[in-house]
Amino acid sequence: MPSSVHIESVTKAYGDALALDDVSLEVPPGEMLALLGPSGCGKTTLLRAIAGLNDLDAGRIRIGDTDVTNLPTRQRPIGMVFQHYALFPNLTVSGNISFPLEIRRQSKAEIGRRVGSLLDLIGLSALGDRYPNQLSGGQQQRVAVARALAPEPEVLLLDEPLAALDAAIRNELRDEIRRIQHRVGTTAVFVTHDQSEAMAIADRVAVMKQGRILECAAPAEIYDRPQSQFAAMFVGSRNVLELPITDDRMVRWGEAFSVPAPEEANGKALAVFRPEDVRLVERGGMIGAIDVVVFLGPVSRVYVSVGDHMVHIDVPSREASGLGPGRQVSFAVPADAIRVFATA
Amino acid sequence: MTAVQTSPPAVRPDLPAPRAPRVGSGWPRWALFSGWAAFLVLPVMATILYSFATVWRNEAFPDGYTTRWWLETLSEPRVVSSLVRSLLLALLTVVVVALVVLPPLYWSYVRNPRIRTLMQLSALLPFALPFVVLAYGIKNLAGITEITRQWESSSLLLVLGHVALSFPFFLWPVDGAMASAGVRRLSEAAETSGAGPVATLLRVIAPNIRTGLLTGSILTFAVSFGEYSIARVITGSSFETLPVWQVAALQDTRGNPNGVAVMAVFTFVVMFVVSVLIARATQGETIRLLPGVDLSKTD
Repeated sequence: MPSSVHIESVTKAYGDALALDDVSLEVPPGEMLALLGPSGCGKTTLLRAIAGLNDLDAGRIRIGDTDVTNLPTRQRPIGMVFQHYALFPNLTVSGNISFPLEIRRQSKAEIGRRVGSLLDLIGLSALGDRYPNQLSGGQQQRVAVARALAPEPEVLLLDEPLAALDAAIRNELRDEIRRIQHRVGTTAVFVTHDQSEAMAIADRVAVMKQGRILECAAPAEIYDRPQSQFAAMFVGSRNVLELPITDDRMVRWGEAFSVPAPEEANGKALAVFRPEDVRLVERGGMIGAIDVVVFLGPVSRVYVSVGDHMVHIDVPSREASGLGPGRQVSFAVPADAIRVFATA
Repeated sequence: MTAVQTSPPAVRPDLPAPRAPRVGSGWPRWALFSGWAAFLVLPVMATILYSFATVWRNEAFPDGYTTRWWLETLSEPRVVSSLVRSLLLALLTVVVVALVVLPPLYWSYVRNPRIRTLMQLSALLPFALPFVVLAYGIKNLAGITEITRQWESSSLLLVLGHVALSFPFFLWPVDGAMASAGVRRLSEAAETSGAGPVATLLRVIAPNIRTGLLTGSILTFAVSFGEYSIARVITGSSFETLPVWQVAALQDTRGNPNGVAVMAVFTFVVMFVVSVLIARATQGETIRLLPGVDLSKTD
């Protein structure tokens, strides 16, 4: 039965360093929430606090209606998946999955049934008798997911579960975890520093920096309309230009765009826009010279030099055949695709 | 614009391929190996021969051979008693060392790493201090208070002396095994699976550090079993262990030097068999856990 997670004004410091700074967050039942941020932003500390592996200096954590703040880890209704799998090397795949059920003294028949269905769920029915060292990294992490799900936890916690895997397996397992979470319907909190992973797997993404949650919204919302300069810079590819604010409180860059300056900005502002929002135009717009064209599959990234600036423009690869270094191009950016922030 | 060379540089066919240096090839290797083997094997062989020798004078081999010393020594009550004492003492030492070392070492991995540093520093003491100094220190310490003075020359104090002496031999392999197994990660995985501390220790941690536990236990057992100085200083001859009997037998003009050789061989065989059994049971992993072996694969 999935439960909601309520994090209320949670604070945690290591010496003078504040790992979590008055963090509050709600995760509704059945939602997959990604905690996204760079190393040291506090995302793993927050996840471990939900698991009870870290003490808190202040604040409360509730799972459903139960206050778990002072509850030992083993009594919390959670399952956890670790970055480096943390499977028990002395137990087989089936032994690992049945471990939480044996601890809870479930009947042998019930354990056998549950282990069988979880092995089916992760697609490893034929490997139940193998030991962890006989499995690939991806298979081991699948087993870790099954072990975490075995006791039917109210909340599934995943601590960078894909970070130790190769790129190809990472994408496959990411989709697999999403599929399993959907099928099981459990609430899940997923920690990652990879923005594309967070976007792909989560219902909502909480962007963290220096122990605080800067914003928490659906992936498309964070990507298209970031509320903070940090989120705009951290999530996805982007162009960043520092431009002066004109007397009429506008931020202009030649013929490329003209947008209102933020109210709090003085003197200069940062204009941020995505490479895929830049349009090559026949006439008008800003003129620049192509530096290099990089083929990325469905799109090609065109690096255009304009004065001291280098602008990244994503062009469908089918339309990029005539583009090459040295060629002059004109481009423009729709005003609604530009986010403007006051300079720090 | 400069092009970047990405292909590997071509090898000139006229140059000979570089040869990997071969260390210790040819006769120097065999000479070194033979010298090393002779150094190790000759004393053992000589002891074995002496335990079967009727008389051994200034010759390469004994004048004759007999099983008399073996039969007499192994049926002598004083020898059997000292052997039993040494066995019990060594077993008790292993148990106490395990109880003293395991909980704080485990705690240092899961909660407080500073404990481990303290333990590693303490482990240097038996090597920094001569055994006799250590023994007198323990004895004097016991004599400080009225309550503990009654144990000043007791076998209980001897156990503590052996614990102080041999705990590094338990600590190092177990420490290596814990680092290698990723004890903290395993503990957290067990905790989040709902396991309490006892289930975590018995079902997850102990099986995964089994090699270290076995290695540490046999090293501790061997150190305690063969220890003479501390036993002599603390209990004198009131609690005669096998090494104490062996020295006494050698010093006594009416002693039994062949019997000493018998017990040395007997002890050697027992320890050798136990070591081989443990090495087989752990598939050779015991070697990897000895002090000084690289254990960079940690969590």
